[in-house]
Amino acid sequence: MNQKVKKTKWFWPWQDQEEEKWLESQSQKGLHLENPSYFGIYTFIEGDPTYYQYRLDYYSDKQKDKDAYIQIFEDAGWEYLGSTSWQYFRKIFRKDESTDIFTDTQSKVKKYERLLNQYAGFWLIIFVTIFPIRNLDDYVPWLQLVLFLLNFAILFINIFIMMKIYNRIKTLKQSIKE
Amino acid sequence: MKTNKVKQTAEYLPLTESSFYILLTLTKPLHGYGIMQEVEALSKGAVTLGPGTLYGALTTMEKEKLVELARVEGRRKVYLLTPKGAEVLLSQIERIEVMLKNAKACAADTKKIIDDREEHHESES
Repeated sequence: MNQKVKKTKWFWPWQDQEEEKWLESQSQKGLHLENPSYFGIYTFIEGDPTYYQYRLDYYSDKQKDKDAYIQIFEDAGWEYLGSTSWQYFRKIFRKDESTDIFTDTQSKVKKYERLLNQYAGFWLIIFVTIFPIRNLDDYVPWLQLVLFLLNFAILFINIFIMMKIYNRIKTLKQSIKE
Repeated sequence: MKTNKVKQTAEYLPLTESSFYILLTLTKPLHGYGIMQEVEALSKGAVTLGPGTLYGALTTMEKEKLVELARVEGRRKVYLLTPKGAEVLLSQIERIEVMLKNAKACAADTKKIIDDREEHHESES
């Protein structure tokens, strides 16, 4: 039985390329991702050092034809590792083979637009939680304050994430024009 | 409210090289991997389609009714061109024919610019 190793490392939603590189460096040390999970917790299986290429796509888990989606990747030689809405794939690196899952800028842009839409959806949650809090005022003022601060913290992080993703899209679009 | 605006044929043009080749291969029913192989062979390796790009393109084309599901083979979806998709492809082919005709007409003059410059350099040295 191969040893399992758990590691934690945090990546922001706009750091998908950094995450890919980190996973690749782990595989070169003989730690291969078994299952992606939330909150930056990664489970690895120990094995021989391998030059894997890791690639992340983004689809929310409401994706309808997931089987057909995974099949296209598997047919093209990619191994599916699982999903946290980020879809994790890997393939052993070969010089003569294409190593990217996106071969034009348009489809790269669309990936980040799907991600951006997801974060735009959080706004709804924020508004739904902000409004009922006002009525707590009379009962527990400290709780109201805590919830309010929490809400604003989430709000600002959300705006920051969306700006970062938006910048990525803008940079990609500029590269088409050039 | 979502408005389902139907795109006119002209709005799809010009097709990107990838979209053009995907539509071209779907004159016969093919699944995703079949399309990848066919496009690579037809374009002599100039156009490769990553699985993420292809899946996205097929999803969009199906939504816009340029291609449709012909059948399902296990977990693989087999697609085929719709009459609307065929119309878009034909318009693109017409555009390419005009481009090719113009290109051929100008090819000799274009070459001459390079040749003249080379001669000039040779006479200088």
